[in-house]
Amino acid sequence: MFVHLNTHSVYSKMSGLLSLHDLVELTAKSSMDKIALTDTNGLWGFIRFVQHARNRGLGPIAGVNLITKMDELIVLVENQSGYENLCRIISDVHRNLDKPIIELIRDRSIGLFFLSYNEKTLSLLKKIIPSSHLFVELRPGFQENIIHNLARKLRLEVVVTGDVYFKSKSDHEAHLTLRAIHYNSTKDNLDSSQYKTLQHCFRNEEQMIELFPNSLSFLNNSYYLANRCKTNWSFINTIFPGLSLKNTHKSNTKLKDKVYSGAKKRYTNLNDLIRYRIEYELKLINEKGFSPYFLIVEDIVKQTNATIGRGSAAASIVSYCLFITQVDPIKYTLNFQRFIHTERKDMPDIDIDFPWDERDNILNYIFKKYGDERTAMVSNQVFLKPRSAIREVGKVYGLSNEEINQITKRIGWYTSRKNLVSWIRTDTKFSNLDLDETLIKVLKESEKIIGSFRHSSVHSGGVVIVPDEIEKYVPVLKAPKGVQIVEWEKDQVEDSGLLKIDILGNRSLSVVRDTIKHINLNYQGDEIDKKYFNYHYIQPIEDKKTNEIMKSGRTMGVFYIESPATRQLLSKSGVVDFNHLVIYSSIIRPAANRFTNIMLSRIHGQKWDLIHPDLDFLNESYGIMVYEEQVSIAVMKMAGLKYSEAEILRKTMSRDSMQSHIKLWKKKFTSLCIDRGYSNEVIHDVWDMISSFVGYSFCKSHSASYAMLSFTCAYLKAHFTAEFLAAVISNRGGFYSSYAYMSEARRFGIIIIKPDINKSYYEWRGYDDKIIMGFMSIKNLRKKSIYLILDERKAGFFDSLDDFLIRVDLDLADAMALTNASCFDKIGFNLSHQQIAYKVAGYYLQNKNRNTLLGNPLNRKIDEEDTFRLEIESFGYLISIHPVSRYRGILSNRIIYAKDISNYCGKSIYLIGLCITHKESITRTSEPMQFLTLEDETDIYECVLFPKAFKEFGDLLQWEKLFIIRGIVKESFGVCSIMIEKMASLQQWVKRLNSNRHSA
Amino acid sequence: MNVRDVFHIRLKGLELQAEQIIDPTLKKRPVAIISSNSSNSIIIALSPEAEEEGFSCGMKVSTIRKVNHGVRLLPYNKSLYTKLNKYIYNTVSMHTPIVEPRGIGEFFLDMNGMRLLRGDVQNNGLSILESINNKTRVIGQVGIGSNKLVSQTITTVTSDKIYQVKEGLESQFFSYLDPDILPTASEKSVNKIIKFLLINKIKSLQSIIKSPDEFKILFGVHSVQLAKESHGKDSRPVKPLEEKDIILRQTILFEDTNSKNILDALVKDLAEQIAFELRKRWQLAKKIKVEIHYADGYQMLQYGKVESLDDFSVIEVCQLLFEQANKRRNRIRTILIVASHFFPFADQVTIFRTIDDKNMELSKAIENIRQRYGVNALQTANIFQALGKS
Repeated sequence: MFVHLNTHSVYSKMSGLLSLHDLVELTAKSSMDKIALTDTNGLWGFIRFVQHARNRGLGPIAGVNLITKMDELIVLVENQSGYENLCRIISDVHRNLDKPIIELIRDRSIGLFFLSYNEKTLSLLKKIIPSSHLFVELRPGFQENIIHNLARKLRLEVVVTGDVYFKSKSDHEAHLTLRAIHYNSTKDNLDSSQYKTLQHCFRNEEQMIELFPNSLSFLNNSYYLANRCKTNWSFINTIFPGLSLKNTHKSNTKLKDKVYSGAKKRYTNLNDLIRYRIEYELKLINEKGFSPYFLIVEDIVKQTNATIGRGSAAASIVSYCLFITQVDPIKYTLNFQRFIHTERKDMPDIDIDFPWDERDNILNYIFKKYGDERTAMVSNQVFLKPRSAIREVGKVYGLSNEEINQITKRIGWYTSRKNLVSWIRTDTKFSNLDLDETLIKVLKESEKIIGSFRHSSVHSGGVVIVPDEIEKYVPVLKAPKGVQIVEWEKDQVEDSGLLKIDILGNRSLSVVRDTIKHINLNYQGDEIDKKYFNYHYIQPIEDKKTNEIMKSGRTMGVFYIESPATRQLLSKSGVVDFNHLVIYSSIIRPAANRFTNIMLSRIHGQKWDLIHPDLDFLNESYGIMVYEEQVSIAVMKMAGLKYSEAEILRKTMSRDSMQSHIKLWKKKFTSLCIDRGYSNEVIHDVWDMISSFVGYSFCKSHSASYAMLSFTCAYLKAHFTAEFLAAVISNRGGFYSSYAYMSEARRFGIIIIKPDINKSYYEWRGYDDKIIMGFMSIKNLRKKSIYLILDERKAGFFDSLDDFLIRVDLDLADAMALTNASCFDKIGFNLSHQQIAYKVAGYYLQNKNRNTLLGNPLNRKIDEEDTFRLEIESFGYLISIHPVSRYRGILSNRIIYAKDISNYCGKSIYLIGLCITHKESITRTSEPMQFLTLEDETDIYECVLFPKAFKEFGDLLQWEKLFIIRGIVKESFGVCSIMIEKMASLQQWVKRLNSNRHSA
Repeated sequence: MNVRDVFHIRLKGLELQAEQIIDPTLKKRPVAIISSNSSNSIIIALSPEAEEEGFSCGMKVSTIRKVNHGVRLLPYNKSLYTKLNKYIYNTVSMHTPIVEPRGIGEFFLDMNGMRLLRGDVQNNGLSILESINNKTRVIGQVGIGSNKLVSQTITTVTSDKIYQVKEGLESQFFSYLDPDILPTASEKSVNKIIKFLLINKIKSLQSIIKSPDEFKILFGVHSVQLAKESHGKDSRPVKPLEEKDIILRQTILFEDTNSKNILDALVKDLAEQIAFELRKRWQLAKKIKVEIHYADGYQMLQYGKVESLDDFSVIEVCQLLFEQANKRRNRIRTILIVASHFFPFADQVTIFRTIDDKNMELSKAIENIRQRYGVNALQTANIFQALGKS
């Protein structure tokens, strides 16, 4: 009877190769009923491990392989106190790897079993650990008789372990690769102490007996010890942070007071419906004991002015009245059940977006208020993906950065393919890649290590708060940037029952804030000042101008609805009110493309029927499932599942880590529906819609929250375009580059003014029909210098270049950056650019007793090429002209302007354009294709490269930005796009044209 | 008046011309000389026909193979080019005793006083080109100026077979040229200011020089040199070739690698060869350099000294230097070991046998075989295996 009590999964950083799924499967196939996971120095994947083990009917044992600089030890958990102690020990190891093991476990040994093969360690431990909890470990690589003798000498029992790191001996090479990556070395240069031998593969009982034929009773000991370990893990008890108000009753009363006080601000007249909803929600919240949670979130939210609470919380009137969310759930019929349900036992999530540049202050506030001992951020667990795996293995094999980049730059950050060699051999985007022997070796080894845990970093916003001591619940560590994080990522934190609040940075909230600030500054004293002073008082819904820009898809810069796909959807639909925008925000998901087109037809009048009368709740979304709660309701109604089961299905659909369970759910759903008399056709159609929720999806309240912010942004863009787009660029935009937003501003008739030493600010500023570029747009100009200039300018504008030179003490590099960006042109009066540069260089090159140079030897007028070069150097893009207009004069007049595309429906036309974004996609038959957004001097236009054209021209997109294309104008729901037939690099085209003309 | 005449002879694309001499069918065809046969190698020189097809120096061979199969790719034949260069050196040395070679295909000739002997300076230049052409079929051009800077600039900026800038006209000649042509303009601080001031002709620099204080502020410690160069002044003499006393051993790996076993064996092999040469001379080297060239073009080197003549000591020194130099994981393409600064080996007689004595005896025994059958006649197993792979 053997049980593995020393196993390492991929969570053992850069050494373990077994996924939790594989580990559990191997264990189950070997007829073992328990398994201990002892990853190196952490419980990184513990919650997942418990879930996998339970699904396979195994008893999961918590443990760790403690490896410090001096020693090594296997620790297994006996009971809950042991688990808490283990978390504390691991946290301590994270703090100090030099600490002797005896120091680590002193006073924390209760509830834990310890295994070691080291005589010195065992002798030390024997002094503080009873022999019932201390064992001599016999692991592969050790001689049986030596360990037997040691046990006899110390009078301790021996336990055999497998010390597993990989599945089979053939994985050993991959293990060596991981170690070489870890030690920043090559495989040849690894020291034998730095890696495990071939012996450390997974063995079943028979193979373990073969390995240790003289230790049968010690093999059995592993089974007996496993039976003494804790396997009944429960995570349903939610952990609340304690407030200063210890009494729950007081919390409830406080919450009620705050809600009614907020309700008076939100609704001037509190009618019965509102009161009833508030009372209903409060009753449920009080029953569940969630009041302190709401009070904490409210406390956090009030630290800033502009926030949006999103997720299911937006369906709550309590959240709305506490100003946590911004959408009226009564007006927009948002269903509270999705947020808190009578059957729901776990904590409801309240996710809050803050302006991205205020997020750190909010986090500081939380840490200050609740302290390090009770608070930590959620971690991001970074695993090797194809891109990073190839990079790391490439380095082990000595490839240069250039060689590695030629593959990795063609692989997306989130690509999750495993069969790299065949993929790279067959995918057209790698068509010009020279796959030599070394590269193939690198790819094959990369395949094996994909999924290995690399390191953990800080999650963008998840914060965990506990009532007493965080190290009791989960090991914590300091992230490289100094923040305390828990070992688990957001899903494990959620599943463990810890209270998680998502404090996320949102650029659009900063955009709204800054736009309002600048409107107030620009129109100081006007009525507008009062009208727009507060974010909460903007009323964008049903505003004509707002609706117009949304209907025409001119929403670049507008939160969440600015991507090419969404802009096209808006203009194709022609109906953009709040309710529709909520639908659109939900349906724009990769897996739901087909349903988007069906919905568009129905919006445009096509007749439709519900799939089944039981699905009448789909009437609000044209008979199509668009919200998460619709999935839950559908499975509850059709399959008769309980709320809690429906919730599990919903979560399964949205999590990558649970995709393997979908097939099982489909089977279950189908058989239950058949039992309840639904036809196969209906079941198939409904499941088809459910499966479009794979990856990510939203609940209605979440979409409503987002739609409200979208409307607010669209309103600001429609009425204060310059201020809004300047704020978008200053906050470093969203989907597009600064240049693309600048072009968008120009399409709205706004003039872009280059930075001016007397007029520019740090950020871009808009007023009326002008946007003046901010100093932040100048490359190589340090923040410190910008603030120095702005500070000095408070004492008065700079009268002349000499005045500036005397007043502002800059480094030459900063002064050069300002000069090249033409900041001094206005105060240089009659001086040419060259003369200004001469004075600036001459002045700042002097170390002390600086004087302005009197000579004036340079007087060349800079030409167009100089201007372009300076603009590219200073800003990274051209300001004075559109890049394609440099070439238009040379090209044939058969090339049309983007603004005229709609006149050529169905025809083949030539266009030129700058690519502002592109997105790879796949067809239904899994062939790669590409969507491109191009723009010329007159407009922006959408193009598509279908597989055939993509195969031929797709790789151009890797290095080119300017294109000449030939394509057919396709019209769909009144919106035109280009189906590309041929495309070429514009610069190459012009070069060829010139050389042809020359030779002719 | 004592007129200085310095010739600069430039034989453009000598590597390519050399290949065309051997194989005349290569003329008028797109040809490129590449650094090695590996797909990672790059173009070093190319014919105008290849240039017309869109190729350029520095382009990767793998790219060329993908794009075009018509270009003839020739691996870098160093020994051929060196031999031809040496032959041309001997040819031009017939015209003046002071010849300074500058890499492959470039020579400075100090022709002072030759006017009296050989007459017109331009005829002189032409006759040098003619003699090169007669003996080797290599075509070149001559720049004639009063110093090295002027003559070299001429062959850089003009395509004329022969061009002369007369003494006194240097300023004028330089005034319309790009400042990048000046050696001092490659100094980072100088280049930064030139670019910032948008100076695209040397005449702008010449006009700033008129205010020496301001010129000094702008170009600091480089101002004096830059001012001289801007007016075409250069006092560097033409230095005849000096024979350097070095022992150089180099290995170019057939396949780039970072395998420790192979690299260790190759270093050992090179070190043995160096030790063999040192023992032949009965000299030690005050300076030994291990140079590593990586596949991505990066180089690392480390210096040390050889204090004992036996194989084991030299190998130990070289391997240590190699380990110290090889701080990267990247694959290595070439390893060089250069010994220099030699001094006699004082063979101290000792009463007691030391380990060094034993090593020396063993080295000598091996050496006897090698002297008879060649240096590669005896190899240790790992070197044999590594060389088999490399």
